[in-house]
Amino acid sequence: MPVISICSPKGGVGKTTLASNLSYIFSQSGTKVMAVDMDPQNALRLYFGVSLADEGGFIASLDSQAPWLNSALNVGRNLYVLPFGKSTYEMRRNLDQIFINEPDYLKTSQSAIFNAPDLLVIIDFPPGYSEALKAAACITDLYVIPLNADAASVSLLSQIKDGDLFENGESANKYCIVLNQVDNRVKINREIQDFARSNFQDKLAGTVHLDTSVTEAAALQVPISGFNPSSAAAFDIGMLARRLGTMLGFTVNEDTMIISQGQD
Amino acid sequence: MLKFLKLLGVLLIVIPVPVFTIITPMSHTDQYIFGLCMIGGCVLLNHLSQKHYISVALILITVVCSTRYMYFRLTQTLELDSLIETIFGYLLFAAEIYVYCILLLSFFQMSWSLRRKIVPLPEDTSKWPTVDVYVPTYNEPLSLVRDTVLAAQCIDYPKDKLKIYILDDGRRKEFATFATEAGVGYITRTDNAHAKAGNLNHAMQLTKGELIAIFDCDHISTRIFLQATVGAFIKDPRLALLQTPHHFYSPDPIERNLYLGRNIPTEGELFYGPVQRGNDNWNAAFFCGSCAVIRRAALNSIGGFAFETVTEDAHTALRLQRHGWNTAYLDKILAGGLATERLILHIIQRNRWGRGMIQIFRLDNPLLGRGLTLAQRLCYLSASMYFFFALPRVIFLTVPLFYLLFGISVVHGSAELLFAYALPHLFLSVYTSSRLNGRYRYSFWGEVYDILLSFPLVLPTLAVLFSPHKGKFNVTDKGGTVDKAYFDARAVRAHIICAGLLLFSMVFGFVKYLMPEYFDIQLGALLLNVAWATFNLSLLLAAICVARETPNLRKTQRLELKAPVLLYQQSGICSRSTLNDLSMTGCRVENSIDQDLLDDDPVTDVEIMSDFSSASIPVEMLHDAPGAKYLRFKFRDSDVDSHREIVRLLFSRADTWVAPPHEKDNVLKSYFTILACTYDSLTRNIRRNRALKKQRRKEEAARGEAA
Repeated sequence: MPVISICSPKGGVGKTTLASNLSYIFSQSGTKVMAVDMDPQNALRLYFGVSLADEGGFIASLDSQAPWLNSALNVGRNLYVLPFGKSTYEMRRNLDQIFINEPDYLKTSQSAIFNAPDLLVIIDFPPGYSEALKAAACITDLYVIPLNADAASVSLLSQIKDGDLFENGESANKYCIVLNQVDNRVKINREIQDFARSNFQDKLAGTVHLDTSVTEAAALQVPISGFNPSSAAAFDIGMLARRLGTMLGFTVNEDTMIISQGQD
Repeated sequence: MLKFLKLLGVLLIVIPVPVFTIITPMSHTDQYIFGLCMIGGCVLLNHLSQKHYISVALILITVVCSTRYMYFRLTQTLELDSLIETIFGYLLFAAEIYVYCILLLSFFQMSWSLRRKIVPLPEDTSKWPTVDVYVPTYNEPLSLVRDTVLAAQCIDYPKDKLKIYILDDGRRKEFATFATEAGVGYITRTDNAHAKAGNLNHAMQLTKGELIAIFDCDHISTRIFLQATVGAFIKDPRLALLQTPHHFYSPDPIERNLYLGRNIPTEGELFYGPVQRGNDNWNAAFFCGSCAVIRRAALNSIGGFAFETVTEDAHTALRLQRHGWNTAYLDKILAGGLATERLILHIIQRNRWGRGMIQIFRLDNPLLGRGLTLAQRLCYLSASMYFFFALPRVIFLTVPLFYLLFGISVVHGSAELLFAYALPHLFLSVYTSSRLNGRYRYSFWGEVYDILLSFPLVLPTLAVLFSPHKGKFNVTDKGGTVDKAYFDARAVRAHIICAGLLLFSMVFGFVKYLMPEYFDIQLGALLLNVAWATFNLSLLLAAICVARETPNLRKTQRLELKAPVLLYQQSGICSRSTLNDLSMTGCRVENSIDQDLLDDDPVTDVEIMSDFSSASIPVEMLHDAPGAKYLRFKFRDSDVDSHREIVRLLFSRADTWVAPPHEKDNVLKSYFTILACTYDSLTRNIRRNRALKKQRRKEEAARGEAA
């Protein structure tokens, strides 16, 4: 089953929000989903109702060499989350070192997660470039790059278009853009959308509207649709999930969005 | 030469048949039999098939019967006894000649019509000509002009080849500001010489487009306007003008005050259907001032728009055609506008058209001068002569009065014989027109329209006929509303007097019949005149009813449109829903938001999404009961961009004005519809009052029970 890496050169563009909501939507449609947190901020788990006090994660298992899978938590039907865990600088350096020494680490040593036949993996990366991102190159089927439709993103867009974002050249074509927190009431927002649409065409997998339902829902630790069934952002992420499914070769059922066939 | 001789031979054999049919005198019994045979034959033919040659046959038979009647009138009915009878007799005969001429001309115009197809533009956009869109305005409100300009901006055409200009003869600052905001050109001048024509000519000096598209400031274009029209100019380099229909989405006074919701073709549909298509067949389609594209080179060759008459449009077309340019008419509704909203304004507008067309008749008569084919001359003659209708119409209305009140008989001979001759003429001219144009104009409605204008137009048209150089351009007010019902007696004063006289004359005729010992009457003549007066009175009453202005409160068009929308609440919550309907001033949306989310957190913006664009508009939420099925919003003043998007959604679609054709006409049914319309209009207040009383009684009863 495929691996989706959610990464972005910029922070605060909604990577974690997208990762959690996409995981939720895919799991709802019947796919077994593992949301993996590669960000030392260790925030992803909070989106799944894991309590703030629970600070366990795979980072702690590096010393004992226990499989990461043991640290995964079941947070719903078909839905698992692998928290990063509370970490020290040493632990993080250690992790980076492993990634540098063993480029195939994720694929070989953690194959129960990253090479499992019936599991969709969605990885949430820290902003910018990281060793983890490089290590995930061999397992990633699709990079999803959320960006905001603001002026700062314009330069990034052209950078991405030049394939400059990833060191690994072959991954350059396996990406798509998501414009997040779009507000059509703002003229520059509309213009950047037009720009992205004409420059990226198919590579623009979707736009997600600015909608405080998302943050409200996160604060209440409920899915967005639980807070506001008509939420525009929830609808947009649903559309995005469907589009990603198609990009990855899923057959997506129009009504129920059940993914009936995995990637070969 | 041989061909010519053959043709001559055929004509020599064929021509005597109708000629003898026309001139052979008959007794009234024989004439009845002849007339009924002709009528029966035509009815039979009409039901036989809808083929065009059958229509031509019907036209020929009608022309023969009408000519026979006219010949009879000329040879047997003009030997009148006294001077006064002679004067009125010849007046009536002149009016009949006019109607006969118009009948022949209109048959000629409409017997072959050209249904032009859209000429597609070439794939290569570099071959497309540059286009200037002119929106001339003088005193109309910005709210009206704004939509027209924004819609013009939504026209599909390469941006670098399309320039839009507001031609403001009112020199208003807010128009200049708006033009800058919207990104269109603004042209004004120091004087208002030559009114609209002068305004257009002035703008032509300042712009460079190869083609000029003109929209009156209330004509909102669809996005395909240029895609549908420009191709013809590339195909035919001698094409000077392409006219498209004027379509009105607001009801005209006749429609609003007399149709009362019935599905009857409006006044313009005949002209913007069979008439212009027929003109086009003879390369004589003419310019109607708006919703048209004109070639600049052609205009330059005639020195710009004609400004000598108050109908610069038709005159410009005539002049273009004299210089050998072609014109075309495309019968596809590509723009929608506002009709004149009150009867008095309708009369003022027609007053100008009438004076202008008669000016053309006098100053640049299409029969004279160089450069036109015979067919073109006849088509333009028909148009310029049409507005002479006022005086003949008044004569027909009042003639029965002469006999019934004063015993003056204006036609020599027996009433029976006259009727025998008139019957096939009258019946067939109505019947054949109904076959030809029945979907565009129902029988006798033309008479109602003409009667409505007849009295007010007699003097102005006659004045122009004798001094054609006088005449001022007046601008038709548009965009207003009629706020409350009232009767505009000023507009129909003469009609009311005439109706009163007709009624009195009918009673007087009846008295004469009851007292044969005092009055010398002929029963046939009396019956004929009473019947004529009754018919006149019925149409006159219908025309008078148009003056009963009904309120017309809705200013803009409301469109049912299902489209996804986003609702932005004050707190930043953004929800999806579905649009239900939309107008320029507001919209209605399905209520999709949980009530507890809506409390104290009103929707502040609505974004309407469509395939090609999306627009967010600041709104004011109108308060309904919690949990209502729809949320209603009133648009606040928004920026030009979102306003343009509303215009695009509302008016820009290619199929905005597509409507199914009207049902076929039925001569008798149509007459009874006119009676029914009149009856409904006259009794409207009574019925409304009754309904109100009933409701009040019900409410009182309910209140009583509650107490």
